[in-house]
Amino acid sequence: MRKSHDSSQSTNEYSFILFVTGNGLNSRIARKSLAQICEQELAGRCSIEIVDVFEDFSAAVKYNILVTPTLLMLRPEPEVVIIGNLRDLEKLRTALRLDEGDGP
Amino acid sequence: MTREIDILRRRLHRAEAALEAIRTEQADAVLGEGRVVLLRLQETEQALRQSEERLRMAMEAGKLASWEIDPATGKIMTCPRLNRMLDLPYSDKQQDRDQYLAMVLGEDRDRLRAAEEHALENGRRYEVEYRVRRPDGEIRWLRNQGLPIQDEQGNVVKLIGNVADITRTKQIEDKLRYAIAERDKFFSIIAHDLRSPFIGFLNFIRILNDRFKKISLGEIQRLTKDMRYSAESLYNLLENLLEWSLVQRGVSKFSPAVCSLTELTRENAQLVQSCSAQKNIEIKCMVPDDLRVYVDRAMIKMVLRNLLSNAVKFSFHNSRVTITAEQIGCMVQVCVEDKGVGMDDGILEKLFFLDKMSSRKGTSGEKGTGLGLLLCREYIVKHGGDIWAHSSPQQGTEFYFTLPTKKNEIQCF
Repeated sequence: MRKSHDSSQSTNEYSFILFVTGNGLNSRIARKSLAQICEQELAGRCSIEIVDVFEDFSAAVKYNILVTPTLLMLRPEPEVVIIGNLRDLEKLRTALRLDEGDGP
Repeated sequence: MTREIDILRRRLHRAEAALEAIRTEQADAVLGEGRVVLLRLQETEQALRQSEERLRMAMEAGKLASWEIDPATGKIMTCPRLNRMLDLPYSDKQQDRDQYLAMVLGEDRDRLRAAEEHALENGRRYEVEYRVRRPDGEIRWLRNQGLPIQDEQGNVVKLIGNVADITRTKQIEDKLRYAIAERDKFFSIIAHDLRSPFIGFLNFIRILNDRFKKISLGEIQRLTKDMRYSAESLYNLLENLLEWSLVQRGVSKFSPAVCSLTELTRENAQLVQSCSAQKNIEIKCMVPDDLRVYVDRAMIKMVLRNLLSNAVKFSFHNSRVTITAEQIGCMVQVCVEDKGVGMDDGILEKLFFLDKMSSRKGTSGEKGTGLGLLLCREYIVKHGGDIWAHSSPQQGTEFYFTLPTKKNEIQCF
């Protein structure tokens, strides 16, 4: 299950990979939260790849994933790793440095 | 050195975050050496259990039983419902299929086997209907639907399917088939019986037409008399047909009332007077004056008309037809007796059955159908009564029927 939010992946400012397991509860929550962020403040500026580790285990090994769900932000650098279901959107924004520069 | 410490610190940080996610139930799985270990198993299990329950209820709703056959070993796994259906003890282990196959009736077993073998070859779903004899001796009709399950190489590794008890459907199907056959026979007899008086009629008209100028008054008189018989027999048949169709469609109104049986019989005796006079037959009505019955007048008139005209039809010339009646319990038993050709047992037993319907010519060659008697039975049964006959060949026949005397005793036997 790979899906790209935007086909012009390489040119996007933000680039994410979300590792999930099937249709697990936390995986579902994480997918929803990420989609929300990308449709709001990051609309048109991000690409998402979702990797189901049941289908692509090697990708998880490549990025040293320990548990699912895990979100990787590859760009903008430095790389960020967030582990958990991403339910708390405020924390997620902070972790992704989305607050910086957006302030008044 | 600092770089390595940095990497280690980052790894440790990640591991801590992972542990935290597991502890706070925010993780779905842990990725181990080459495999995924699912967390939150209760949830997965619950979802599975729910799906299993839903499937079970769906099978329940369709009263379907399930089974799984291993074609390699010939072993079968069943569900409790299947064993209840077959009246066999249930086991949750694999069992030999022999005892199941042994219950299937001979020729049906061959069909079942052939269908399975075919499915094993072509890998397609199949459906077979067959009969089983249960240990309690009862025969049931089952419908079996099976699906071959293939491995990646395309080999069938098992057959999975369901069974439904279709005994009731089969019974209805049989009834329907019987009813259609009955109806076909009925139409062929009616057509045949309509044809004969009509041919007579046609012949008389031809003679009249062809020899109009040469024909004598005496001949005309004879011909018209014959024509009248043909016409009457046609009319009678059509009348019965109409009544029959009304009964069959359930539109004939049943409106019983108290009335005098004597009156009813007298009226009918007069109706057949012209025919009986031809053969010099006396119609003797010996019904006690005070007998009251609770009946639908029109229906019972039709019954009496048919029985009386039959009696006259099969009576020897110069004989007597007697109508008697007596009260027995809460019913009145009526008897129409003639001295005539009578019937042997073979004809007697066919009298009231549509599929065995037959007709005989009367003692003066009168035509008829067995339809009249069928109608009689239909009407008498509607009244909660019974109709039957005794007869001896060349001596005569007695037709009996019973009628209720009061409203609330229609169901009384």
